[in-house]
Amino acid sequence: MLSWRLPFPMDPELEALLESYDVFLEARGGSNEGQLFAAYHSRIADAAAARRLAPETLDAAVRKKYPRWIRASDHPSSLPPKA
Amino acid sequence: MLAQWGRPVLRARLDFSVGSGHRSIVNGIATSLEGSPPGLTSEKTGQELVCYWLDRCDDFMDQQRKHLIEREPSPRELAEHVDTLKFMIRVTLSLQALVADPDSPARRFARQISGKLLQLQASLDLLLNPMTDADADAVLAAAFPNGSGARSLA
Repeated sequence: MLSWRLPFPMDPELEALLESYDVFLEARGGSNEGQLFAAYHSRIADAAAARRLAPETLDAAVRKKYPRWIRASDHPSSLPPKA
Repeated sequence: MLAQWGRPVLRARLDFSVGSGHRSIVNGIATSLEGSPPGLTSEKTGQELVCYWLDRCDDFMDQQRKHLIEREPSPRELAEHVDTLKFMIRVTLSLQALVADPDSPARRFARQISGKLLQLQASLDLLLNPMTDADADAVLAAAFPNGSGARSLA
């Protein structure tokens, strides 16, 4: 697992949602993207239902958080260096 | 749609001359089509077209990660990227329709194309998300009282 260094605490369930979205966006080749997308939305639906939130609202909030979460992390780009 | 290939922004963002996958495909075509029966030739060409495009989509997603997600893009960078992203979605939609043809030789790639299309469309949703940072933080702070990764107002 990547090492995150966030300035403020984050609920593990929210972090799991962000990681699930990241895994989907970072998938390559086309074989698993559909499954990973479904897994992310299943997690969003469960989390939203537990909090009596509209899934669309939670999804939009998680997606808005996602780039800031990535930028707050201390891991380098996952891209391999160009030859 | 083809007219857009000539647009400067697309030339800058979609470099079709790079990528080992592309080169190997081109070389593969050059060496394998000689003497092939017509049916096999079209099948191979169709499959290589799909593989080529999936490679380009992956390259595009890598660049998006590096230049628009890992760092804050300028408004111009964002606008140019969104323009290219929409083009990628249009081409992938066309390819999806092409492989959905029951007689398509590349039919077995339908799942990969659908998956890649989901990723491209999700990227557009991500980049054009109308929710403000403040609204997102408020939703997440209320939903996750144990910490939303944002500064507490208390």
